[in-house]
Amino acid sequence: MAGAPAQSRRLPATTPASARGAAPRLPPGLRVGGGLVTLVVLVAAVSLVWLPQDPDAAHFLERLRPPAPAHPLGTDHFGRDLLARMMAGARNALWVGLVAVGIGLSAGVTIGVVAGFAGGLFDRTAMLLLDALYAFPALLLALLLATAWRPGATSSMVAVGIAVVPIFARLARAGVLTAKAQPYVEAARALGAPGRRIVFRHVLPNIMGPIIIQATLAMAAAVLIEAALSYLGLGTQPPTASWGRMLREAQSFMFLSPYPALWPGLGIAVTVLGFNLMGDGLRDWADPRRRGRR
Amino acid sequence: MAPFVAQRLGGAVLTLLLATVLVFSALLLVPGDPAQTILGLEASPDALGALRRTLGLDRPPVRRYVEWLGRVARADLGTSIRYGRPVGELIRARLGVTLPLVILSMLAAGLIGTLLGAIAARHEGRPLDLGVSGFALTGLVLPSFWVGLMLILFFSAQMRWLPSGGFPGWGDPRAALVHLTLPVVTLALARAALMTRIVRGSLLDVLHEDYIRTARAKGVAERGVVYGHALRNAAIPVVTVLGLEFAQLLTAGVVVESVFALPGLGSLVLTGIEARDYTLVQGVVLVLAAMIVGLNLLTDLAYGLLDPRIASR
Repeated sequence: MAGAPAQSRRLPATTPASARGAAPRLPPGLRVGGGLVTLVVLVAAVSLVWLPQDPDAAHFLERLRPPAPAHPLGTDHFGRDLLARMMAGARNALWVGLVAVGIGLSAGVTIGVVAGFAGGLFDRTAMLLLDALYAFPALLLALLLATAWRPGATSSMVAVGIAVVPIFARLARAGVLTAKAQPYVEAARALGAPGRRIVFRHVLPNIMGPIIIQATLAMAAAVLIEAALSYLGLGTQPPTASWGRMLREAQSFMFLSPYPALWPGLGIAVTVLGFNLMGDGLRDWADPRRRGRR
Repeated sequence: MAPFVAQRLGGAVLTLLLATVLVFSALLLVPGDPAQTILGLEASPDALGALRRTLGLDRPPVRRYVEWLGRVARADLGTSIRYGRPVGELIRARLGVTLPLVILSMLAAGLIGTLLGAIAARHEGRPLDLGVSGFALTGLVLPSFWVGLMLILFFSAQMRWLPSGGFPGWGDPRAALVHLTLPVVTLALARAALMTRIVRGSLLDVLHEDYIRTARAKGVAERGVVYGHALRNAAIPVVTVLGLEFAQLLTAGVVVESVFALPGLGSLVLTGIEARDYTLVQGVVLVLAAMIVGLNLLTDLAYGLLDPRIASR
């Protein structure tokens, strides 16, 4: 008898973890992606306060060295330490990605929210123009801006930012249209809450989930496009270390030493994979219908 | 169907108009005097004046846009400042490299993606599926320019099987195709990876349909079920994605051309940017945008034909 109450308190093994009081298991993709992103963010954060060597200091006697204790990832054609440059490159990739996504997110969400609330001609015109902009690839925008402003990180960040505006605007508009019909927004309206308060207190917090997921996926795209632009010489300019630029410089010397071309590619791949897995994982996690589906 | 075609045509025209506005506005974003920026600080006032007139800087922007649009409509993209030749002529010469590169890559991506996607779907959940899915994920996250460099390192430097870059022209088609092999593989890899995922997903959906169960019940071999029945019906989303992938291939082609030193539109536009040849950059970007809009329109219309429910919506 003594064991009976304990037995009855134990729920069957098939009960979902959440019902047993434990947090639901994170999808493997989210865990792996989150881990990779955390690694890149940590490397970038450490590079702000500590670098093994000056990433721009040339040592001509130590050119194109393979990995060794003094230079764990080797050196490039100027004898610069590749570990230090990779760390500084991580900082640059995240910074450029964050600014680009920040531009796209703030402009896109603003347009989407206003269009969703205003409706009518403004909504239709804005969506038509954004659809047209969506068909215009980021790289073409970047080529135009690089010609007008001279190649640099700014033009590539703005180009990528503009290119992702339509995605965020569509998401925000859809969220607003759904939220507008919800009883809590109707109640706020009935209580006389001004439009701005309804947007910031009631609508935005409810549509932020999908927008954050999209921002994670947009980060992956932004890092990849910026690397491509830097590789073409249209993104981050020397002496700032950027993974795309490092690849460009390594190309002429890769028959002598493959390491300067190897690490930046892996850095870009790990970052892009991390953000992609994290975005997909967050989407699966947030959507109960997709949970458990692989 | 007619309203559907009209709607899609209208959308394409609007997108193209927006592209012309974006392309034209690039010149307005140049800080200071574009003529001075192009010719440098030591240019003579006469040369500056002549270039300003050539670029139309002595007229209001809206008038300039309308005039420029009129010329573009007559296929006149202006004269390149760097080369002193018509931009249209320069673009036509380079299309002989860019178009084969993009078309061959699209075919390769479609073939590899369909084959691998079908293999993965047939072996769902088994090691072969996991291997193919792993390849697909890897192909999607690896930057194409890095893949190109690694291929050069292995196939050109190590094995000495294929050239590392350059293009001999179509005078010798065999040599031309050999020079395009590595660029095509590089460009096709990421697209093939995406295609693999789409074909796998689409096939898995189809493989659970009733007619597939019927085919199996009739004793059709699994290979026949997948390749004879399911793949044909799983092709609709694949065709659509292939069309949309064209835009990705064209822009990624700019980067891959740079990796393999191919004299295509990519290298032309990069030369234009370096020389601040606005006319040339505007011309190339506009042609690329027009090709993307045109193919998107064709894809939309094809989708409407393949799936009448889309057109009747």
